[in-house]
Amino acid sequence: MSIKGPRWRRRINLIKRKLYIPLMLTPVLVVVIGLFGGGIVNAVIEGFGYVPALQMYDFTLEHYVSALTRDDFWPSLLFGLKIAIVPNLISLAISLFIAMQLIRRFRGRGALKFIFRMPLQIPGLVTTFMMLVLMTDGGLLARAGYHLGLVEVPSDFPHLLYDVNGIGIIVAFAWGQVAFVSLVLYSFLLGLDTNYEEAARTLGANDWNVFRYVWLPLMMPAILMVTLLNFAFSFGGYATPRILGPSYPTTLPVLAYHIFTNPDIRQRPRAMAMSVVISLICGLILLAYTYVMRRMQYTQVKSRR
Amino acid sequence: MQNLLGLFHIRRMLRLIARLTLWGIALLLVLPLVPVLLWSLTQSWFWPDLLPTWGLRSWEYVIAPWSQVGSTIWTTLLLALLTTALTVIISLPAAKVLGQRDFRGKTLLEILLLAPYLVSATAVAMGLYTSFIRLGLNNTVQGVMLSMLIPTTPMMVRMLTSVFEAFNPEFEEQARALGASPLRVTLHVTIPMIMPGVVAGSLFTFLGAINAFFYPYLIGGGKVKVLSVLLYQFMGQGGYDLPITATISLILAVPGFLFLIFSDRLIKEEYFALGFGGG
Repeated sequence: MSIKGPRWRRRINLIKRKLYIPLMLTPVLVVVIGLFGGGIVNAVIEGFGYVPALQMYDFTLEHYVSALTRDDFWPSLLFGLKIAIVPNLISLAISLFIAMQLIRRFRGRGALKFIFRMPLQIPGLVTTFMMLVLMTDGGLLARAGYHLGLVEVPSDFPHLLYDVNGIGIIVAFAWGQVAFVSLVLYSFLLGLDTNYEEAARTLGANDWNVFRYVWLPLMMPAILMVTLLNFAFSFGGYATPRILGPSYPTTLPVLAYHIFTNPDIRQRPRAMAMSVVISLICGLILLAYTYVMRRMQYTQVKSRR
Repeated sequence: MQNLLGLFHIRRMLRLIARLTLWGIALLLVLPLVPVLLWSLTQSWFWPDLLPTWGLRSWEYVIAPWSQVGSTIWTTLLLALLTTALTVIISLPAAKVLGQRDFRGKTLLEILLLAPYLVSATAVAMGLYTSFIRLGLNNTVQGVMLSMLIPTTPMMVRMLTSVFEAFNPEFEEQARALGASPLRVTLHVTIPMIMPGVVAGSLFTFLGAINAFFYPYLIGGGKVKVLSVLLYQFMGQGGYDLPITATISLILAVPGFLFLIFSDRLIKEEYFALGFGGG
């Protein structure tokens, strides 16, 4: 129809068609580039010591160097890695078991599915509070210990909170992650081809071998992706390590915000430098995640042939 | 024959053990909720009692007008609702293009859209802080809403993109060929077909907005009072009131529980995985 119209209308149609995609993408780009990108760029610049709002016009690497050479930087980085990795592995092992069991039909499966999905809908802060009242000196675990004759006074109870071991944080994260990981793995398993299992069984494979050599490799992309997501969430989280963790060592986000709120406002660039370091580490996770995602799309295309 | 029977028994035993382990894990997931429930119904609870002296004083506090918990709940719901609506409006056009068209830079955009989801909110919020002060957005509901778009938009775009990928554009073309105007096509073809996905995405975003903590905490600066910040402030105080904190926790968990109970009827399970690349 449009081909027959006058020339000006054809030109307008052409411009409309050319602008269609950019226009449709504009709102999202404003959020991703304007807000998110703006926040990152601002942190990078202020990390150089250029904060016009505070009458600071330096442009040095000094703050980045001092952020990386602080006494508490490396212990905090290590502690952050620990509370990002350990709960991840625990929840992965439990979730693999749950997902493999749930694909079979049995009595009580519906109720179990409901319970396993529950922590997904519980806010992180509520989980943190749960662990707090469960694990403090006078908490319910300590009281149970008293009635079992293991603990006499609250101070006897082992330090699960505010401690370098970070047991409280690890349990809180693992508790929250099990629902997410098992749900993703379960939905992924439902979409997989069961012919491989039958083939393996025909060839005489037992349960363990079927899991190890059939299901596990097939699930690997989903496992990697969900693990990387959980790593990023735990590593970048603030409230849980702040409330359940020790004041030293802490995690990088907690440390950065601690410097950020320093009454000496000239410390601001150091907080910014540290938040840039955090963003860079999250950026590495992002790269790994994209790599796995692209590999997965590739294998899916291949297996469809 | 004897051997076969033995094998059969071992398999049955193993299956029984697996089932029991499953229920054990379920128990470990449910048990930590119990102390919170008990604490919210506590008058006083002394060491080493396993059960408290019951009382409803924390609920009286929550209901009392001077505690401001009521107004905090309204602010939280309003903020989450506004954020969700804005997120849908922003994400729909992009998701349509991403789901139905191929264009240069599409992969780059997809990666770019993952970044706000993975990069620590703490780092981004601190970076935004001075700009938001300059723009007069800090300590305002609008400012908090804008900042919360950072995590909500990428997730919504991802979910809606898979909806549009599954949506066949030929339905739109047929309606057009039969003489429907673009507006009618949108109203009577496109919207009805994508509605289930939009509802699912909105519910997730709404819950995420209610649970969000660091953006309202930093950008809201204590002036925009939402439940998550209130809960954090209660936990942050030394010698805080446990029954009241427990009650606020329970209130904050209510939307999620409602979603958990009704989600089976409202949306399909696959949507859970959609947002996370699992599907």
